[in-house]
Amino acid sequence: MGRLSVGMDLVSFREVEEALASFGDRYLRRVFTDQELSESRGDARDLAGRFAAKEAAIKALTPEVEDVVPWRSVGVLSRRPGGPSITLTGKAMELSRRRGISQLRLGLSRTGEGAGAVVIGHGPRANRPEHS
Amino acid sequence: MSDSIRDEIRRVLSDHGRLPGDVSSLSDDADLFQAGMTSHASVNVMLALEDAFDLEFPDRMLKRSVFESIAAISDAVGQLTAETPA
Repeated sequence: MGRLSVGMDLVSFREVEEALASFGDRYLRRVFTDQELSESRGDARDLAGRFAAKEAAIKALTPEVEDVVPWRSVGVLSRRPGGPSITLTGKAMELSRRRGISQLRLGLSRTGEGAGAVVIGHGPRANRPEHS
Repeated sequence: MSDSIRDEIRRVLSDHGRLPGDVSSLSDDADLFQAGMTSHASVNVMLALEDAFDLEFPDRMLKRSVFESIAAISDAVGQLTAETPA
Protein backbone atom coordinates (compact mmCIF):
# COMPACT_ATOMS: atom_id res chain seq x y z
CA MET A 1 0.00 0.00 0.00
CA GLY A 2 1.32 3.46 -0.88
CA ARG A 3 1.24 6.63 1.16
CA LEU A 4 -2.16 7.64 2.55
CA SER A 5 -3.60 11.05 3.39
CA VAL A 6 -6.88 11.77 5.15
CA GLY A 7 -9.25 14.73 5.19
CA MET A 8 -12.56 15.24 6.96
CA ASP A 9 -15.15 17.97 7.31
CA LEU A 10 -18.50 18.62 8.94
CA VAL A 11 -21.18 21.01 7.69
CA SER A 12 -24.52 21.74 9.33
CA PHE A 13 -27.61 21.99 7.18
CA ARG A 14 -28.42 25.28 8.89
CA GLU A 15 -25.14 26.82 7.66
CA VAL A 16 -26.04 25.98 4.07
CA GLU A 17 -29.61 27.18 4.49
CA GLU A 18 -28.30 30.51 5.80
CA ALA A 19 -25.83 30.82 2.92
CA LEU A 20 -28.62 30.16 0.44
CA ALA A 21 -30.83 32.75 2.14
CA SER A 22 -28.04 35.36 2.28
CA PHE A 23 -26.30 34.85 -1.06
CA GLY A 24 -28.56 32.62 -3.15
CA ASP A 25 -27.37 31.87 -6.65
CA ARG A 26 -24.02 33.59 -6.09
CA TYR A 27 -23.22 31.09 -3.33
CA LEU A 28 -24.23 28.17 -5.51
CA ARG A 29 -22.23 29.30 -8.54
CA ARG A 30 -19.04 30.00 -6.62
CA VAL A 31 -18.95 26.69 -4.80
CA PHE A 32 -20.66 23.99 -6.85
CA THR A 33 -20.19 22.69 -10.38
CA ASP A 34 -23.02 22.69 -12.90
CA GLN A 35 -23.35 18.93 -12.53
CA GLU A 36 -23.54 19.20 -8.74
CA LEU A 37 -26.23 21.84 -9.01
CA SER A 38 -28.15 19.67 -11.43
CA GLU A 39 -27.91 16.63 -9.17
CA SER A 40 -28.68 18.46 -5.91
CA ARG A 41 -31.52 20.66 -7.20
CA GLY A 42 -30.65 23.21 -4.55
CA ASP A 43 -31.42 20.94 -1.60
CA ALA A 44 -29.54 22.18 1.49
CA ARG A 45 -29.03 18.68 2.92
CA ASP A 46 -27.54 17.48 -0.34
CA LEU A 47 -25.36 20.58 -0.73
CA ALA A 48 -24.06 20.30 2.84
CA GLY A 49 -22.85 16.77 2.09
CA ARG A 50 -21.18 17.88 -1.11
CA PHE A 51 -19.44 20.77 0.61
CA ALA A 52 -18.19 18.52 3.39
CA ALA A 53 -16.88 16.11 0.76
CA LYS A 54 -15.15 18.92 -1.16
CA GLU A 55 -13.41 20.19 1.94
CA ALA A 56 -12.45 16.69 3.03
CA ALA A 57 -10.96 16.08 -0.41
CA ILE A 58 -9.04 19.37 -0.33
CA LYS A 59 -7.63 18.46 3.08
CA ALA A 60 -6.63 15.02 1.80
CA LEU A 61 -4.72 16.79 -0.99
CA THR A 62 -2.72 18.52 1.80
CA PRO A 63 -2.46 21.99 0.26
CA GLU A 64 -0.02 24.60 1.52
CA VAL A 65 -1.52 27.92 2.63
CA GLU A 66 -0.52 29.46 -0.72
CA ASP A 67 -2.03 26.68 -2.86
CA VAL A 68 -5.05 27.89 -4.82
CA VAL A 69 -7.84 25.29 -4.74
CA PRO A 70 -11.18 26.69 -5.92
CA TRP A 71 -14.17 24.79 -4.55
CA ARG A 72 -15.43 24.20 -8.08
CA SER A 73 -12.25 22.31 -8.96
CA VAL A 74 -13.44 19.51 -6.67
CA GLY A 75 -16.68 17.89 -7.76
CA VAL A 76 -18.83 15.42 -5.88
CA LEU A 77 -20.88 13.16 -8.08
CA SER A 78 -23.67 11.20 -6.46
CA ARG A 79 -25.69 9.66 -9.24
CA ARG A 80 -23.31 6.83 -9.92
CA PRO A 81 -23.20 3.12 -9.14
CA GLY A 82 -21.09 2.51 -6.05
CA GLY A 83 -22.06 5.71 -4.29
CA PRO A 84 -20.75 9.28 -4.35
CA SER A 85 -17.31 9.94 -5.74
CA ILE A 86 -14.82 12.79 -6.14
CA THR A 87 -13.76 14.28 -9.46
CA LEU A 88 -10.90 16.76 -9.81
CA THR A 89 -10.27 19.42 -12.40
CA GLY A 90 -7.94 22.39 -12.77
CA LYS A 91 -6.00 23.42 -9.67
CA ALA A 92 -7.19 20.50 -7.58
CA MET A 93 -6.07 18.05 -10.24
CA GLU A 94 -2.69 19.82 -10.47
CA LEU A 95 -2.30 19.55 -6.71
CA SER A 96 -3.18 15.85 -6.68
CA ARG A 97 -0.50 15.23 -9.30
CA ARG A 98 2.08 17.23 -7.34
CA ARG A 99 1.26 15.22 -4.24
CA GLY A 100 1.31 11.93 -6.10
CA ILE A 101 -2.23 11.19 -4.95
CA SER A 102 -3.68 8.83 -7.46
CA GLN A 103 -7.04 7.96 -5.95
CA LEU A 104 -9.52 9.58 -3.57
CA ARG A 105 -12.04 7.49 -1.66
CA LEU A 106 -15.07 9.25 -0.18
CA GLY A 107 -17.19 8.33 2.81
CA LEU A 108 -20.22 10.55 3.31
CA SER A 109 -22.85 10.52 6.03
CA ARG A 110 -25.77 12.70 7.12
CA THR A 111 -27.51 13.07 10.45
CA GLY A 112 -30.57 15.07 11.40
CA GLU A 113 -28.53 18.25 11.65
CA GLY A 114 -25.62 18.00 9.27
CA ALA A 115 -23.31 16.09 7.00
CA GLY A 116 -19.85 14.67 7.51
CA ALA A 117 -17.32 13.44 5.00
CA VAL A 118 -14.05 11.58 5.12
CA VAL A 119 -11.75 11.32 2.13
CA ILE A 120 -8.71 9.08 1.94
CA GLY A 121 -6.08 9.83 -0.64
CA HIS A 122 -3.93 7.03 -1.99
CA GLY A 123 -0.51 7.42 -3.51
CA PRO A 124 1.72 6.97 -5.30
CA ARG A 125 -0.15 6.68 -8.53
CA ALA A 126 -1.17 3.07 -8.86
CA ASN A 127 -4.54 4.28 -10.13
CA ARG A 128 -5.36 7.74 -11.33
CA PRO A 129 -8.20 9.78 -9.78
CA GLU A 130 -11.14 10.32 -12.01
CA HIS A 131 -10.52 13.53 -13.92
CA SER A 132 -13.11 15.35 -15.97
CA MET B 1 -4.82 49.90 5.33
CA SER B 2 -7.30 52.09 7.14
CA ASP B 3 -8.95 51.21 10.42
CA SER B 4 -12.36 51.60 8.79
CA ILE B 5 -11.64 48.75 6.39
CA ARG B 6 -10.52 46.49 9.22
CA ASP B 7 -13.60 47.52 11.19
CA GLU B 8 -15.78 46.51 8.25
CA ILE B 9 -13.94 43.18 8.00
CA ARG B 10 -14.61 42.62 11.70
CA ARG B 11 -18.30 43.35 11.14
CA VAL B 12 -18.42 40.82 8.30
CA LEU B 13 -16.64 38.24 10.44
CA SER B 14 -19.04 38.89 13.29
CA ASP B 15 -22.06 38.43 11.02
CA HIS B 16 -20.83 35.51 8.89
CA GLY B 17 -17.69 33.98 10.40
CA ARG B 18 -19.53 31.83 12.97
CA LEU B 19 -16.63 32.32 15.34
CA PRO B 20 -17.24 31.02 18.85
CA GLY B 21 -15.63 34.06 20.50
CA ASP B 22 -15.90 37.82 20.26
CA VAL B 23 -14.39 39.10 17.01
CA SER B 24 -13.41 42.36 18.67
CA SER B 25 -11.06 40.43 20.95
CA LEU B 26 -9.07 39.01 18.02
CA SER B 27 -5.85 40.69 16.99
CA ASP B 28 -5.39 41.62 13.35
CA ASP B 29 -2.90 38.78 12.97
CA ALA B 30 -4.87 36.11 14.83
CA ASP B 31 -5.44 32.92 12.80
CA LEU B 32 -9.17 32.89 12.03
CA PHE B 33 -9.24 29.15 11.31
CA GLN B 34 -7.53 28.44 14.61
CA ALA B 35 -10.10 30.75 16.21
CA GLY B 36 -12.88 28.50 14.92
CA MET B 37 -13.88 29.77 11.49
CA THR B 38 -14.98 26.77 9.46
CA SER B 39 -14.24 26.30 5.79
CA HIS B 40 -17.92 26.76 4.98
CA ALA B 41 -18.05 29.96 7.02
CA SER B 42 -15.10 31.26 5.01
CA VAL B 43 -17.29 31.04 1.88
CA ASN B 44 -19.91 33.22 3.52
CA VAL B 45 -17.24 35.63 4.72
CA MET B 46 -15.85 35.90 1.20
CA LEU B 47 -19.28 36.61 -0.32
CA ALA B 48 -20.14 39.13 2.39
CA LEU B 49 -16.80 40.88 1.85
CA GLU B 50 -17.61 41.12 -1.84
CA ASP B 51 -20.89 42.81 -0.98
CA ALA B 52 -19.32 45.11 1.60
CA PHE B 53 -16.48 46.31 -0.62
CA ASP B 54 -18.12 45.90 -4.04
CA LEU B 55 -15.45 43.59 -5.41
CA GLU B 56 -14.99 39.96 -6.39
CA PHE B 57 -12.35 37.55 -5.17
CA PRO B 58 -10.84 35.88 -8.27
CA ASP B 59 -9.92 32.20 -8.28
CA ARG B 60 -6.24 33.06 -7.76
CA MET B 61 -7.16 34.34 -4.30
CA LEU B 62 -9.10 31.28 -3.23
CA LYS B 63 -6.43 30.03 -0.87
CA ARG B 64 -6.18 29.70 2.86
CA SER B 65 -3.60 32.47 3.29
CA VAL B 66 -6.01 35.13 1.98
CA PHE B 67 -8.63 34.43 4.64
CA GLU B 68 -6.45 33.36 7.55
CA SER B 69 -6.43 36.69 9.41
CA ILE B 70 -7.98 40.14 9.47
CA ALA B 71 -4.66 41.57 8.29
CA ALA B 72 -4.49 39.12 5.37
CA ILE B 73 -8.08 39.88 4.33
CA SER B 74 -7.34 43.58 4.59
CA ASP B 75 -4.32 43.21 2.31
CA ALA B 76 -6.40 41.27 -0.22
CA VAL B 77 -9.19 43.85 -0.16
CA GLY B 78 -6.61 46.59 -0.66
CA GLN B 79 -5.08 44.75 -3.58
CA LEU B 80 -8.43 44.12 -5.26
CA THR B 81 -9.59 47.69 -4.69
CA ALA B 82 -6.40 49.00 -6.29
CA GLU B 83 -6.95 46.71 -9.30
CA THR B 84 -10.55 47.83 -9.80
CA PRO B 85 -10.87 50.52 -12.47
CA ALA B 86 -12.28 53.78 -11.09
